[in-house]
Amino acid sequence: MINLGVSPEQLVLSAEQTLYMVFVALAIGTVLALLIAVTLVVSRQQGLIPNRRIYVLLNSLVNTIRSVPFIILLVFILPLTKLIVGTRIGTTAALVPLVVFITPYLARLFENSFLEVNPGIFETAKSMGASYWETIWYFLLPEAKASLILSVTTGTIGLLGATAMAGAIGAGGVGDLALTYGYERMNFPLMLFTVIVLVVFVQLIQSAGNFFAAKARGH
Amino acid sequence: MIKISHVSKSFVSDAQKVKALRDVSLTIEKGQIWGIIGFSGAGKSTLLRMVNALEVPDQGFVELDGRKLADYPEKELRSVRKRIGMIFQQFNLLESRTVYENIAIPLRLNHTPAEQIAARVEELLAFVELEGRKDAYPWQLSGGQKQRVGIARSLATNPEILLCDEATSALDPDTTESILQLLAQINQKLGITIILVTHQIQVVQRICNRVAVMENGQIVEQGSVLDVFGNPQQPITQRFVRTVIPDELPESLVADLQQEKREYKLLKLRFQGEVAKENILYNINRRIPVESSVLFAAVTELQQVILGIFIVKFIGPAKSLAATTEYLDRHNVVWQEVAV
Repeated sequence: MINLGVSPEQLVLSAEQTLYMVFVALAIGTVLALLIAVTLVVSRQQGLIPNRRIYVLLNSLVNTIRSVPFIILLVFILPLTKLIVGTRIGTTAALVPLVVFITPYLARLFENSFLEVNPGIFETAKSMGASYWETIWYFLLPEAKASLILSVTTGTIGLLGATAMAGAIGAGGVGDLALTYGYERMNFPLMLFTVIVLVVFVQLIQSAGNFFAAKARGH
Repeated sequence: MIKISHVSKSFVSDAQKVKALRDVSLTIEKGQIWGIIGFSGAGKSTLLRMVNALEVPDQGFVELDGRKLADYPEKELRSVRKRIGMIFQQFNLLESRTVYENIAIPLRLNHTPAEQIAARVEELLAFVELEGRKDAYPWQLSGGQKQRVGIARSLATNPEILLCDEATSALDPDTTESILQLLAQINQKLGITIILVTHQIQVVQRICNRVAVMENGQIVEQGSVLDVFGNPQQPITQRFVRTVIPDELPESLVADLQQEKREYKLLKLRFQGEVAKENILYNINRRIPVESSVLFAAVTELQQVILGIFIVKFIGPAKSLAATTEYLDRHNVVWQEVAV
């Protein structure tokens, strides 16, 4: 077997760190993004409860955060990170910028998923006497479900990419392993190995996303 | 009873104010089937949406069983809407849900217990003849089947009124016919009042007993289908009715008439009901010295009543022609002179 220059424990730890960062940030980000996306769709001019002020505010917030490259966001919000998790470095500290990064990204993807829903559905909901909450719960969310799953898939892959940069604040992970041990030590086999691992990750995530989306569509 | 009284409504689109409805009044009695017909943009869908308050009038009011819709607080308005079913041209089914789930939605909104939902959905599936398709998804259904699901869904909460927004416009003629039969059945068996918006006069002719003709946001003509179809007054009504009950002479006959040297009168006769079964022409020929020749005839059955339209050329001296029209008047035949 090829010597990768790092211990198997180190490899497993890196994988764990990456998975931890991706899935925790994803879970928190998805919930926040859903709230933002629903609010955006509901408050837009043609929405269920048009509210220009809320829409413009949220819309600008999403655009502003999305304008900042992740590596800059990572260091820019360090004071906030310290405030929330009590430390500026480490895997858990990386969760804060990852959530801040992924939430507006997912919110935008979710918003698009919601906008794909046949607008006739809302009129139908109203004609059935559904309240706003019921319209969101029984009509908007189920109809957007498949598309939302694909959005989460895209978001997960984006998040995986972002975790590679989280090494900058000592978060570890597969990407960091590739940079510090692979790139800086010119360890090509390790580099290749991590790239393969990441490719496999992405393939698995995408396949799972496609599978669940198709299932949600009843195919 | 639904009372729409002096309702006006404007929309602003592209900074332009469009008057969708202008002073529209309509009274709909329980158990009737109303057809609201007009070309697109006539305001008929807006009028339909007034009934379940999807649209709110700028002026005028809509009354349901004696209470104005505007007087209901939002929460009560929602329970009013649950008493009014609605079906759509594009069916508006949830694409990600099975037939069963689609039909169950209004029941879920009412917090109906699961066993009752199951029983009711089965009952509805049988009524719309979709047994065995409850696990299908909308994309696996034909247009007619989708509309049947839409109908089942609209009936789930036992509404008193069913609103149909161009419900057959996306369907082929055979499917349209089967959906119309189903709607007629709903009206007869369940006693549900139906209001149907359409641009297809055949739909009105087939199942409605009342009709309102709309143009530019106004109702230009309304009444029983028999009266309106039998004797359309407005040009737009005549245009619609003509497509199902033709009443015009073919070009070649018009040319022949222009060659006619003798004195004659060209009359369009409308026979309705019992009159249609009498031998009017025979009796005229027997009593009055006129020659009669039928140039055109169309016989239709509307609401189980025979409607006959004849264009007859009466040839003879002026005195006989006058006697002919007098005879027609006496026997309640509606006639008018046709100019060529």
